[in-house]
Amino acid sequence: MSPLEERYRRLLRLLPEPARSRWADDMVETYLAAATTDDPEYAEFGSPTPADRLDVLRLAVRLRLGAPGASLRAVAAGRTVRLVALTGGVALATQGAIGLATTAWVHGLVPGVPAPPLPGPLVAAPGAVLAHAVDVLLVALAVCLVRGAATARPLAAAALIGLVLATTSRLGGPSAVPAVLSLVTCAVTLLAAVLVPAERVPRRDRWLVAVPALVTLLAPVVATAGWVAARPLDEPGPWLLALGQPTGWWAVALVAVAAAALPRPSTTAAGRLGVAVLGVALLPSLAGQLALDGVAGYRAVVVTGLVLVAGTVLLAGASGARRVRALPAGDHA
Amino acid sequence: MTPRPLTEPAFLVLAALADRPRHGYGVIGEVEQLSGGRVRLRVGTLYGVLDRLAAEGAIEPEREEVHAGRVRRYYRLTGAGRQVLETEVARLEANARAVRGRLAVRPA
Repeated sequence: MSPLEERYRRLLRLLPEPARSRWADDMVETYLAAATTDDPEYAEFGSPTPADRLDVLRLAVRLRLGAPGASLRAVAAGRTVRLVALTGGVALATQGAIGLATTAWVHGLVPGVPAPPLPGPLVAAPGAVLAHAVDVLLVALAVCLVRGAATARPLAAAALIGLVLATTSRLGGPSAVPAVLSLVTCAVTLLAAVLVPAERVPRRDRWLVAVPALVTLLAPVVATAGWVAARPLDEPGPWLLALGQPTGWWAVALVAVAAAALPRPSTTAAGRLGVAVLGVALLPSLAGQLALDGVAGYRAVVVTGLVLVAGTVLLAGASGARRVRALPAGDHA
Repeated sequence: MTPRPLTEPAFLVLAALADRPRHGYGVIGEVEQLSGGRVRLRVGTLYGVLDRLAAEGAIEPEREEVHAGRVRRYYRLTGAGRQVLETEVARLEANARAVRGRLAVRPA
C-alpha cells in the first residue's frame, strides 16, 4: 500500500458504516486513479487535497443525516435535524416578520395605519439595518424550508453570518450577554438548516409549521393586551412580561408538546430528539432573560422556565436515545 | 405522482453507464466528456450519487477487476435505471421542444 493510499484510507474513516464498507475500497481506487494518472510518483509523496477532504466531509455529513441508502440510525438523525430546522426556522421567521411589521408601523409605512406617537425622533440601534436584513432572510428561509427549495441552505448560511455580524455590533453594549445567548439559540436552528437538504413539508406535517408560527404570534398579542389593560403607572407582572416575548411562549410550547408527545409510544425517535435539541437551543435565550432584572419576581419566573425546559430536554433526550439505540446500526432504511 | 427530476450529476452518471458498465474513474471521465468538459465530478460527489442510485435500484455492481493490486469495481445500469433515464430524457426533450417553439416566434 502506497503512502498516498494509506492517507486516503485514513480520510475515508470519516464515512459512517455501512457506507464505508460498501464504498471505501472503490473510492480509494478512484481517488488514486485520478491522482496518479498524470504523475505516478505522486503515490509516494502526495496527499489528499483540501478539496478532497472537504468533499469526503460533505459526503460523511450527508450519510450521517440519512441520505438514501444510509442506516436507520442515520435516517433518524436526519429527521431530527430536519425537524429542528423546520420548526425553529418557522419560529425565527415569524419573530422576524413581527419585527419587520413593527418597524414598518413605527415609521408610518403601513398603509391605513397611523404611526404611534413617539416622544422623540427615531434613532436606529447599532446593527439595526443588518438585523432587519436578517429578518428578511429568515422569512425567505422559512418559505424555502416549507416548500423544500434547495435555496434554503445558502439562505440559512447567509442569515447565520448576518446574525453573527449583527450580534458583534452589540458587543460592549448593555445587552451584549442576552444578544450572544440569543445568537446561540438561532445558530442551532440555522446550522440544522445548513446541514440538511430541505424537503417539501407533506400536508400531514403542516402542523409543524402552524404551531411554531402561532405560538410566536402569541407574544405580541399578550404584550399588546397587557399594555392596553395596564394603567400608566402599573408595572407589568413577571408572568405577563415573560409571555410578552417569544422566548417565554417557546418554553411553554416546548414543555406542553413534550408532555403530550413523550408518553405516546407512537412518537418517533426523531420527534423525541427534536424536542430535546430544540430545548437545548432554547436554554441560552432563556438564560439571557436573567439579565432583565427590572421587574420584581421576573428572575424566579425565568428560573422556573429554565428548570422546566432542562427537565424536558433530559426526558426527551433520554427517551429518544433509547429509541435510537433500539434501531439496528447497520441496516439500510 | 410525477417523479422528481434527476439532479444533473445523477442524470450524467446514469447517462455515462447507458452504453456499457464503467468503474468510478471511468464514470468521471465519461461525465466530463458528455458535458463537454463542463462537469467534473468530485469523487465524494460521485459516490454520494452512486450510493443513492444503488439504493433506488437504478444501478448495480457488475464485476470487479484487480488493477495495480487494487480492486476496481464496475457498475451498470439496471432496467429500472434505464427507464428513469429514458423518462428524464423525454422530459428534457419535451421542455426543449416547447422552448424552441417559443423562440421561433419573433416578438413584434
